[in-house]
Amino acid sequence: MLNILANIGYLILLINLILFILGFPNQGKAYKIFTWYSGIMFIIQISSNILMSFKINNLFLSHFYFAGQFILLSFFYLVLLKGNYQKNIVKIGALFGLSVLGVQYGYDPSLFLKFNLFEIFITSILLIIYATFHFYNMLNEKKEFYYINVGILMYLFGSTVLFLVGNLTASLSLKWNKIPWILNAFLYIIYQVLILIEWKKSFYKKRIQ
Amino acid sequence: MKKDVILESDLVAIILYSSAAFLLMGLVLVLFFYFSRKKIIQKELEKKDLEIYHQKELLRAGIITQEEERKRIAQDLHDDISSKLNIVSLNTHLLTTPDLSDKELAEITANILNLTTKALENSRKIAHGLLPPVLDKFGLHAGVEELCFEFNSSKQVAVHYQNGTQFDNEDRDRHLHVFRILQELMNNSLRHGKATEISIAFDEKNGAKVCTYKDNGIGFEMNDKKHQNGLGMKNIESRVTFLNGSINFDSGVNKGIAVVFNF
Repeated sequence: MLNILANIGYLILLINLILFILGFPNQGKAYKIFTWYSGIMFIIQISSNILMSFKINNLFLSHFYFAGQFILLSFFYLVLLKGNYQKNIVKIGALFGLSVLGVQYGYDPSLFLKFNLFEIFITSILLIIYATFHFYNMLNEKKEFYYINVGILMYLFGSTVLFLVGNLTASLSLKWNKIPWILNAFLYIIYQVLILIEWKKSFYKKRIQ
Repeated sequence: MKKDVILESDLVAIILYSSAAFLLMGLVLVLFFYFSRKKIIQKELEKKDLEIYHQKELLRAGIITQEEERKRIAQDLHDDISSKLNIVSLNTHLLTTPDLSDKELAEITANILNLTTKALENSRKIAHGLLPPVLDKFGLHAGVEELCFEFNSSKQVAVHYQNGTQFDNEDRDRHLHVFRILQELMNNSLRHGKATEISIAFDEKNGAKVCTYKDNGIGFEMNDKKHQNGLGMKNIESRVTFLNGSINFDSGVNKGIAVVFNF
């Protein structure tokens, strides 16, 4: 069940990646950054699947996932948000988050091998704040990257807690230990479908032009 | 089966992070609501300010038009009537001179008659220009017919008029506005639009009366702000508002204009 859901999620991610790459040349900076984000997420997913098939522990990839998502989406919102106040918050947040994480791993490299709760917490919260900024900007204005913003917000809201308890799933009984991951895969599908909807509503016509 | 022991410290960490996460998300939601309200209220204020400015402009246009009308009436009265009555008074004074021959008497009397007839004619004309008696006595349909007849007889434009509905005598005041709108439109078509054909049609749709006005003049650029801000247009807009109706302009360069308004 988990495999089917997860694979559907990866499939839609791949479709999104291809669609976004196809429209690459004519679009703005934010679009390009988001395409890079999708690309890197796809690479991380593929690598984790490969490692899984070789029975190698792939938990360390989660750090690349969270950090990569955080850095790329921070750039995305840095371009998208308006006003010096909001952009400064993104810059300060990125600096703060990354430096604390760097210090953390410097002190205790063993953290690299399991879920880092602080990393999950800070990256998700900061991205939620940026997404909320963008919603605020879109009030009374044209909807720009609206569905993607909804997707990011909803997915982060939903999956943060699931990841926070991720370290515990190893100690759950076989009957229950896949449930957080099934829920996460399900949320991920919704996230990717929203990105697809965004593509259809905003970028499909532009490509035809 | 090796079961890893769940460390209490791990669980506590998870609980703390989860509560912190929810708390911060709640805070973000509240702040979002607070700032959004401010933004929405500000936008509403801006919209209202724009509306007020627009109303002031309409008012200004009305007052300016009123003053121009007064000036014109004063001019007409002075040129057409005062001057003639002046001469009539002179002639009448002449009548009091003694020893007038029959021929002179006849001449002076003829002059007086001539001038008073002309003065009467002019005063009728001025009154008609201000408010056509036909419109006043016989209603909108007759008034518009007479207006079309006047324009037709100028030979500069051919007006086609069709009435597909009945006009209720109760709505005299509203009909005056409709009449003025048509007057303004036709004057514009003749003077600015250089039109040679005008068509006016009244219909009834969904309980409201609709007037369709078309001409074949030089038209105007739809997005040209200068035309939209003319005095005439503002007055038409004011009158349409008084009628609680709506108006729609459609035009293109050299394609004439089409105006549809309901009341």
